[in-house]
Amino acid sequence: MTDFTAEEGRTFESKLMNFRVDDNRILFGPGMVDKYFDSLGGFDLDDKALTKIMTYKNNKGEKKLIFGMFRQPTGPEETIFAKANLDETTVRSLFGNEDFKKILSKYRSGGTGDYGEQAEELNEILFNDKRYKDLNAEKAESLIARIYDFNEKEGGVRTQIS
Amino acid sequence: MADVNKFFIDPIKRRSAAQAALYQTELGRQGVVELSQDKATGKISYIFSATGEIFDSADDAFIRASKALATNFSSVLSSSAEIGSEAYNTRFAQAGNVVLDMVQGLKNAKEDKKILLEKIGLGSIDADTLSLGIITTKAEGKGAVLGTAQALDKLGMGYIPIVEADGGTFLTMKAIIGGKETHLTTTQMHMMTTILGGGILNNEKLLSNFLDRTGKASQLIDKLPKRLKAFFSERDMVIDEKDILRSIGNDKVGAKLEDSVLRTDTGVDYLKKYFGFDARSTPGLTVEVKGKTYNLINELFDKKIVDKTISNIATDAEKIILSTFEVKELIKNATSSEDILKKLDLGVESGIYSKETQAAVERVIGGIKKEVDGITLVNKRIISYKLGQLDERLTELRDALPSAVGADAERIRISISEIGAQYDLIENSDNWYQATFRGGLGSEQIKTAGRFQDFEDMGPRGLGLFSGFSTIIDKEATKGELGLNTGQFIISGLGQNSKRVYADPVSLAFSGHLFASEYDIDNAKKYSAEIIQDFYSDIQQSILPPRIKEMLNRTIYDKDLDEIPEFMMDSRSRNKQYAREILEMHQSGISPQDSPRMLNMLASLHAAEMYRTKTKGDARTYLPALHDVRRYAVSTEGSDSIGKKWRWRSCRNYDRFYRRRRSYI
Repeated sequence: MTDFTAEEGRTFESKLMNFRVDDNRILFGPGMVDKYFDSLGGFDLDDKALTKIMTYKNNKGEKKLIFGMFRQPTGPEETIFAKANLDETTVRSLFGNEDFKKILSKYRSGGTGDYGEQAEELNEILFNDKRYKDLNAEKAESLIARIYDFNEKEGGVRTQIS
Repeated sequence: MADVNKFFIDPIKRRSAAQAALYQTELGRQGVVELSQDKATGKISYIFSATGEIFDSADDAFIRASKALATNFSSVLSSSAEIGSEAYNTRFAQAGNVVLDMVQGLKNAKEDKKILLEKIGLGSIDADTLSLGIITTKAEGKGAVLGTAQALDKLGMGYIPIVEADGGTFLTMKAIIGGKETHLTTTQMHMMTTILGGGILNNEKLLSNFLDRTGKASQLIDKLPKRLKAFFSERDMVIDEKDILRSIGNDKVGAKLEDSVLRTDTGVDYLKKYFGFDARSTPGLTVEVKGKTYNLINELFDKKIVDKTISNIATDAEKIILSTFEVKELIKNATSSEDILKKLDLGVESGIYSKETQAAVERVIGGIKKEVDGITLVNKRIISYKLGQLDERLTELRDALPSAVGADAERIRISISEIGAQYDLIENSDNWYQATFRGGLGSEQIKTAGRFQDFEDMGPRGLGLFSGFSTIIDKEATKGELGLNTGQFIISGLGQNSKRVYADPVSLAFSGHLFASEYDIDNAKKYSAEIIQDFYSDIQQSILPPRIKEMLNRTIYDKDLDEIPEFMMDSRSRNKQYAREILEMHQSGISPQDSPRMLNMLASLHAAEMYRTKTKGDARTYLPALHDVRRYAVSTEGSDSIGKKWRWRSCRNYDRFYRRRRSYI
């Protein structure tokens, strides 16, 4: 269950669609396609999807990652939002790229604070095929959100708030 | 275009120059305008391929092609799908199989069909000369399609149009009839396909859809252009029935492609598994290995995924209905999803089932089907088989090249170039995880995403229960709009997965809040600034990035120049020379700052990281790279888990993996 903070003074709970990434495919969990069929718009299982990294704040005020998904070829109203289960394969697929490497490298050399070890471990997972040891999917999510915050403060790219 | 007949005296050089010049044009590359050389005089003429009209000058041929608005032309013969044939067509082999079926139909026509062919003026058709012309016209608006249609009408050529939003494709046919090369009329084309088989549109299905008055007939007709496109558009790889069967070692006499397909019916298969009932066991679904009988359907689906799927799909009320005795009995004895739906219909009429029960079961079955709808598993062996065939043909051609001269040698070089390009595309493709998969299974057509995997690995380890199958297809994946009967798999969308995603005008227009917001514009600026900084840093430090080095090396060591068609030779050797010079300059310590060529290369490379351009008419649009966007294929855990359960259980970190997976699902 994922909690959202809605407009001021009003909260609601909503379970977001989950996915993981394996072999260049977004895999939706069992029964999810049916459950969210109406929100999936024109998505079909033989389509391609574009995912955009975004953030939101949960009820506890914690920054969390969320992924906007758009069908390709793009059409009107074909947008959904989903949570990634950041297992090693998924985190590698979403963040194991040159762009994030640069951001992580800046963070490791300047802004880790108490999270130096976590940042080192994330680097090993993303770029040296290592498995989670002290980190896990949830901690990795918070760390990545923190890394983007740091990058924004340094004048670099940031994540869009949904 | 300059007149090569005046510039060159040597007929070989004349042809080569004309071919090279033609290759520089889109119409020349796409086969719309072709060359012809008089053997006696060496004179070069230009042919508008779609109609066969001959022109003295290339300009006149281009004007003719432009009036007909043709942008691509391909002539397909019955041997165009055969790799060993001179007519092998790397882009339209699937259409070759369609022509082959027609030719065989004409040759084997029984007396009653011969009488009908006679009546439509095709009694004296020379079947072996039948060829299919595929004319493509790509332009906006109805005008383009109408323009081509009018041009063909004027010439008295029949055609079958496949009209799309941005243009269309026209199919024409010609053959020697009564000793004379003749274009078939539109009526003759439709009538011939109906006499020989089911017609272009599946006439039988159309009739039954008209009769049931549910409005499905119009849906059938609506889908026709989409289905026809499968056979008459450019595709990356085609493999026909006999080769599919050979590739999986199942080419016994009388073996049929249909028998190599394992058909799932997830609606009923999931429900039976959920309740622990025996899986469907119609012939072909059970095999005996080492004295033990295995039900293949039972081995395919993972119980935990099935349980979780149904648990997530069914509401609490639906779960109660599903667990009633009469529904369980219905599922236990069902042979297919349709069987369940029919029995529910009858049962509601006779009062055995309530309408609520019918609605609940129907909805759950519909939900289950969505889990796999659109995904087909394809045996990876067909890829290695196809590569083997292409490799063998390339060796044959390379062996024949040294002793060939003149036009024969050039033909061989063109074949090496085309087949080599197809080989490279298949071998280097990295998106077998989900390519576009089409095909014909006799009277049915397939259109899904295809996931290519090792069937040897599926099911209980070491038993290879599934290795003799070509595909695992759900019932939902087969279509029957066309009357064309072919047995072949058609694969497209192959290539190397591009990591970078660029904005496109449609996404900016429809999802501006996500692609063109203030945030996006701000981020694009910051991102571009970072790339420009990298660019300056590369220049200052005299760095030639590894990607550029790789590209240059690939160009230098690209194909042997002896194997390149003459008309491509000049540009290819220039490219090689250019690449060699840049690498040598870099190795001798020359900085990009001192070499405009190197600097230009670096600039284009970095620019590609920031944006790409799209030109329409006179307007050039800059589309920024979206640094926070990735592209993926879409699938489900249900579809991914097919045939995988045993591998999970034997994997070293299974417990850890499964715990994590379970918490997620």
